[in-house]
Parts: sequence; C-alpha cells; structure tokens
Amino acid sequence: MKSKLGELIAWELQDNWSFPVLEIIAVITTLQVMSFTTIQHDTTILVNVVVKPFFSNMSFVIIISATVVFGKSFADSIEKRKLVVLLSYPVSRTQVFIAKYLTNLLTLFLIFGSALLAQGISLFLFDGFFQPVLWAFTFLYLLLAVFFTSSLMTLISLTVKQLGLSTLIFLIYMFGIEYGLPINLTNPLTYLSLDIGPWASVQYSITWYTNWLNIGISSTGWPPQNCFLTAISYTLVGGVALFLASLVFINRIDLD
Amino acid sequence: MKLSRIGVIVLLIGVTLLFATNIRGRTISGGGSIGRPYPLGPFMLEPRETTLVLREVSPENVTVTVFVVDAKSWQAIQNISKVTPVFTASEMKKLYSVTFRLDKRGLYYIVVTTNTGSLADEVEMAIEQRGLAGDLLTLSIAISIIGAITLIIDRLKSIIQKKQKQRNVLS
Repeated sequence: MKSKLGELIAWELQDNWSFPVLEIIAVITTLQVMSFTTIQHDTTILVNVVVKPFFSNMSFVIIISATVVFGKSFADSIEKRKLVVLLSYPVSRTQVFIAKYLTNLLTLFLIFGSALLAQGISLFLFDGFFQPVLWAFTFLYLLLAVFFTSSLMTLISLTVKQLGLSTLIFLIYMFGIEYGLPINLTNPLTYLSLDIGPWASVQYSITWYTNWLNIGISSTGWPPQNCFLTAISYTLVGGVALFLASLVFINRIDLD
Repeated sequence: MKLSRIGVIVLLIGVTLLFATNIRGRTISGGGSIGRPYPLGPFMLEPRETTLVLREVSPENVTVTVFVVDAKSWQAIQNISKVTPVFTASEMKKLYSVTFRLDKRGLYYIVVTTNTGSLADEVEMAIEQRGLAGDLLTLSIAISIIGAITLIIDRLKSIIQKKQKQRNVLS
C-alpha cells in the first residue's frame, strides 16, 4: 500500500503535469540548451563559453516554467477549490504542501538537469578531474536557481490565491530583476539576476576549487567575493526563507 | 503514464533536437591563438570530422602550416620538428579551410607555424565539429522514430483492444 505522501505525489504528477505542461517545458528546454556549442576546450574560459550561455538561455525558461507549474499547483488549486477537496481527505496541510512543492521542484530540476547532462555529454563533461567538478557546480547553482524561483512563486500564489494576479506579480518582479537592473559587474545587485548570478557563482566556485588544489589555473579575480555572497544569499537564504514562509502560510491560510 | 504520452514526449524531444542541431550547426565557433598552440578536444563521441578555417593570419600574406599534434607529445617537447603530427596541412593562407578526422579520442593541440618554422604571431580560427553535428542529427532522427513507433504501437494496441471488445459483445 502506498504511503500518503506517495499518493499525494502521484496525484500531483497526474493533475499538475498533465498535457501539455510537461511537453511544452521539455521542448523549450531542449531547444534552449542544445542549440549552442563550443569547441573552446580551454579550462580557463570554459565557464564563459558553456556555463554563461546555458544560464543566459535558461533564465527565461526557469522563470516561465516556475510560473506555470507552481501557479497551477497552488494558486489555481485554491481558486478552483481543488485544495479544499484534497484537504477533505485525512491528510495534513503540511503533507499536501510538501508533496506538491517537492514534486514540482524535483520534476522541474529533473527536466533542466537532464538537458544540462545531455549538453555536458556533448561538451566534454567527463574529461579529467576538472570538468566534472565544473559541471557539478553548474548543477548545484541550477538547483538553487530553480529552488529560489519555485519558493517565490509558491509564496506569491499562496498569498494572492489567484493564478492571474500571482503570475503577474511574479513575472513583473522576476523580469524587473532580469532586465531592469543595470548591468555592472562590480555592483552586487547585478548578481540577483538568474542570468548572471549562477554563472558568476560557478566561476567563483571553480576558481576557489582550482586555487585550493593549487593546480595552476590562472584566476582573473572575478567575481568579487561580495558579489558571489550576494548571489548565494539571494538564492539559497532567500529560497529557504520563502519556503519556510510558504510552509507557515499554508497552515494559516483561509481556503474558504 | 500512458504509452501515447511517452510517445508524444519522445517524438517532440526528437523533433526539437533536430531544430536545435540545425541552429547549433549554423553557429561556427571561433577561437583565437596568439603565438601559442590551440587546444582541441577531447570530445565524447570522437573520432569525428573537424573543419578548420583560418580567418586571420598574422603576419599577413604568408603561407602557414597547420599541425594537429597529440597533447602529451607536444607538452613534453614543444618543438614541432621533433613531434609526429597526426595531421598536417601546408601552404595554408588566410580564409583557407581544411577538414580532418581524428582517429583517437584525446586532447590535441593545433600548432600553426610560418614557412620559417616559427609559431605564427596571431591566428584566428573557426572550427566546426561536423562529426558532432552529424551524430546529433542521427540521434534526433532516431529519437523521433522511436517516438513515432511508440505512438503507432499505442494506436495499434487500442485498435486491437477495440476489436476484441466488439467481438466479445457480438459473442
């Protein structure tokens, strides 16, 4: 017999990832990730020629996917009273929230991660001991980017309780950050962008790793530590705070 | 998940990869080298064809020789006259192109020398992985065919089930 959480996850997959949500996200991701290539197998510039275009192409897809998936899962469920029906079964609000959140977060990361893995295989992912670490950092910061956008959209959905309005607020905020902030690579605020932040974090982490191993790869001193910390705090600490706020909120929210 | 859904997803990914490969194939990646050898490879799916175009050569109007040498032997000696290149193209000029195939997976260096034997001052190359584009094209067609076959199998299954139901009703 399935556990309650397992049943909730299965229900969420069936309901929220129905045709054509999964298909559209998979198609856009494949197109965005697989359409660029490089032959520049120079470890000092690999972040610029592989990781940068990846996050540059994917930031738009991550934002749109989080909007659709989490908006449909939370705001639309409240609006159409699906959540009320679901909570009439002997399950707690926390269980429903965890099942919905984890299912959507992990499915999104699975799709984006699979595309990154496919691109990585075509671009020397498993070569030597340097490249796998670079790709591991890329996967890590991809997860953080997905985690942050998911948590933010979840909190907005639970607060507003309407799909249209929550989508609008989320998109205005995210695209405002993406395109509204001036691009100045010495200004920490620039690193709030999902385009620049994860890419710069990968650069910082791989520079730290190579310096730590002392394997002689030259460091450009970019990005500065405060910019890296801004990017990490924004996605990790911000994501955790938004997630916890959503968890508290779902237990106090009036669904009627 | 229904078989038809899996078929649709696989077919869509295959067709999308076909488009992505087309975009990817049209993007020629360039690389510059200032008086030093240019690293090439290793790629996951070698051996494959690579086309190299000399966009800029400095000093201008000189003929150069392009060598592709194994990284290990190059790193040990760093003298082109003492290593055995896996590929050589001589009498090359600006905008000349050459296609070569690497028979073994590994890291190579592209070394460009002038007719005096010294390294060229500055070279700008465009390198296109014809082989990888071809592999991805084949892969996308294969994925599309698998998706289409899955959909056909699902359709046939539903037709057979429908006929069986009709037979059961008649009997």
